[in-house]
Amino acid sequence: MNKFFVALLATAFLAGLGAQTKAALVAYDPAITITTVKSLPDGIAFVNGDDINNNVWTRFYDGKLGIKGKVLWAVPQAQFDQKMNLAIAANDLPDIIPATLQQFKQLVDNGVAMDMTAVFKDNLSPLAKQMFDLDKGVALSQATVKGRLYGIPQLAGNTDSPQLIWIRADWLKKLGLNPPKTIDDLEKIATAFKTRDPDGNGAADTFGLAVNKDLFGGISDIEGFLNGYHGYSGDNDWIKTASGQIAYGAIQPEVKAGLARLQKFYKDGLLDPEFIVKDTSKVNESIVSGKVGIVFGQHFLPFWPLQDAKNADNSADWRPYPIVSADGKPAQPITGGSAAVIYVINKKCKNPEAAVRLLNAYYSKDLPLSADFDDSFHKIDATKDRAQVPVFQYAFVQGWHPQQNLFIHQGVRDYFNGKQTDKSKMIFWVKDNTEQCEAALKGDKSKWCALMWSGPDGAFSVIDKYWAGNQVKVSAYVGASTETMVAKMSTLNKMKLETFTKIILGQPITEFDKFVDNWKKLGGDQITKEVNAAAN
Amino acid sequence: MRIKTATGDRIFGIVNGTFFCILALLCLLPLVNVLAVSFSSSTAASAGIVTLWPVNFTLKSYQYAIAKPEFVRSFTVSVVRLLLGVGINMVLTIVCAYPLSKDRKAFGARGFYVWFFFITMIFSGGLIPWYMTIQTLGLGNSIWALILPGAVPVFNVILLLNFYRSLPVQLEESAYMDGAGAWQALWKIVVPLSTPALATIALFSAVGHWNSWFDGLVLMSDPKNYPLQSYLQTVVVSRDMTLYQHATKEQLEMLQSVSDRTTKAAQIFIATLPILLAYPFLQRYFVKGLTLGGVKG
Repeated sequence: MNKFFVALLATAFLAGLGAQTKAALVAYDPAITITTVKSLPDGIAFVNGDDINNNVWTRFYDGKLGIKGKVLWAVPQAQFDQKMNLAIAANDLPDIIPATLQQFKQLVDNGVAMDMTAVFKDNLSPLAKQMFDLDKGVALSQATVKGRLYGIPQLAGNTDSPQLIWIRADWLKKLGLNPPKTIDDLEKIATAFKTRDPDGNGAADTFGLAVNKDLFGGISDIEGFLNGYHGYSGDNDWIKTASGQIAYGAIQPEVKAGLARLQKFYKDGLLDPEFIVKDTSKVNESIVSGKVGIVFGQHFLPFWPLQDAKNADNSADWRPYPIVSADGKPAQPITGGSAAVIYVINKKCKNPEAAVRLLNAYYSKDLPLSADFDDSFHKIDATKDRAQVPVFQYAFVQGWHPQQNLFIHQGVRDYFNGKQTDKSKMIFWVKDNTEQCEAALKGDKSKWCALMWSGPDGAFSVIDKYWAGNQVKVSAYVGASTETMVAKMSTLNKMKLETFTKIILGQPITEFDKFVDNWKKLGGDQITKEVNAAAN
Repeated sequence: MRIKTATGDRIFGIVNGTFFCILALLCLLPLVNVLAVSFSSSTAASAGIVTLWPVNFTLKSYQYAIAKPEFVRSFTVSVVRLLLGVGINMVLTIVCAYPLSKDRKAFGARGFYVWFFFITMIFSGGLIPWYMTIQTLGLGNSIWALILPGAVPVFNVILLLNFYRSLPVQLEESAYMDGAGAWQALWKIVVPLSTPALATIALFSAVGHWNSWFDGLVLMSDPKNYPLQSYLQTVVVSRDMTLYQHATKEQLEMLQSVSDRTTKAAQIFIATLPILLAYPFLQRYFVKGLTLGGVKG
């Protein structure tokens, strides 16, 4: 993996791309107007008299691309879904529609989405194309329906999402335990955390494994545990069977075996006895107050809630470990799609290629690997009110390097192991992270999260090993939702959650077989058929 | 003479008292908890150890909330909305309810008009036509979109109408004898006599305006124009963690700062404060029966 990146850096990016990206930024003459709507992420702010319709990006669009951008409405990210659903229902839509995956399907079905297959291919800049190539077509398949591309996926990559086990390393050390290699080890550790008073307060007030009532969702979930049984039961997990067919992960016998083991964990008191009423933020309370020592989750845990745990108790040394297997076969974490947002182009839009040009412009200005990279398009440093203003969030069409976070980690790691210690040669991303990791190592407690994220022993060191060892499984179907999926999937997911919870709480494991039957009858078989048809 | 109370009555009194005390505590304690969290350190709050008393007392979250431009701006929008909205609501309610309270002899088409208003209480056009109407009228993204669509609160009109009818007719008649017109009779006699009812509906409409968040979210095209509760909804709503699956470090740092419970609590508390303060002030109008003694003999 690493060599691959170095090769990319050395050859493609620094050599010939500069000239090509410039050529890709052709301007409209006379200027055209493009409308869109914006989801404003947490922490966005406007300074120096800027607003969503007048900022570094819109001025650039206007001056260099001949595109007058107009944001019809903007809404905080948390409310975006609701507002967009209403706009779709009222058919009150702009030229470029940033849609969630469900909304994407709706827009295709109701005939709003323009077929972008040819326009996308003909207008994509070489740099942007590199990014889509690095993604190996995953994001594009998400925006493809019946072989036609109906939108531009906001490329984010699927590198980051494999599950990790986060464990209190200080507790391991105190009790003389080693990091787990198998599920049996994990059970031993959890038992020790429960019975051997790891916090030393003399009271039996700790338990082993943190799980939240929704069982899935990237934090305190059970996906990583079931992966240890080679079961894949996330809402969007599809697997390839031996016969080559695509089948739903959550109804496979491997999941049943994993659930049986979790049931035993619960019976032995290794899970929080009250987990069925605890949502993520309640579970985080247990983590921060030092009541639990193991939690499955994704890479972002150091930022939330583990940094809070560190603030509350400096000895809380949460560390990431690879997931473990129940048998001799190594456990494989699973990952899914590469995009959470798809830019749909309204059929009424007269200049669909403008959307692709906006994407090209984004990559050329915001991607640190680009010859035209300019960090004034990315952020404004310290103003009166904020430490940093993330101006890249103003852009109409965005996309990232699909392996960005992993790439950052590799740079940081090379700095700390002495391979590349010249900071002046570092690209923007890596430098920023390296400095924060150094601050954390010098004792700045508030930067601990950065160290445990991109640092040499952070979350991405484990994810790096997963990918390097070819250990990651990619869901066998990541494409657009099918018809029955839209209609039935949420009911089926609810049924899954209920059954899994019941089993963990001690109902006979045969409940699982009943669930599988019901799942198939209540639309699952139909969905499977549609998925297989869509994939071929 | 002492009045003997039966044992049954006493038991009822005790059970009744206990029941309502528990009910009152159920309403009060969550608020006390929010208050305690808002004054605690964020570490204590995220560890979940704050119950009814602040842990590691600090004013930090209030300083943060008051300095936050979004918060201050939406607070102002809400205050403007409240003043304009309640004012318009009250004037229109009063002038609507007065004619409708007259009998058939005085106002022939009364039946038709009462139904005309009443029907809008039972049937509504639905969300999407409502949204499209307001957009087409060009009200979108302005404060009037939050005020005009609900300018005549029909429920309040009916409340007030019934109150007007309970007023002794003689009072108005005496005004007419002294040469007052309908307009004067309304503002000089009827309105001053109906302060308890007016206070009640003013409170209804104030609470309604202050607490509504959905219209702000749907009708404003720029978060700058959000009223307070629409803004608060973005603060307290639980985040969809799947959005953070492929987050960059900047996004994760933001996640950290928006997850801070103490600042959420402080903002929620400041937002409830105006309504909490309005209740005791308006309460004195509820108790007094102003019509008593108005008609003698």
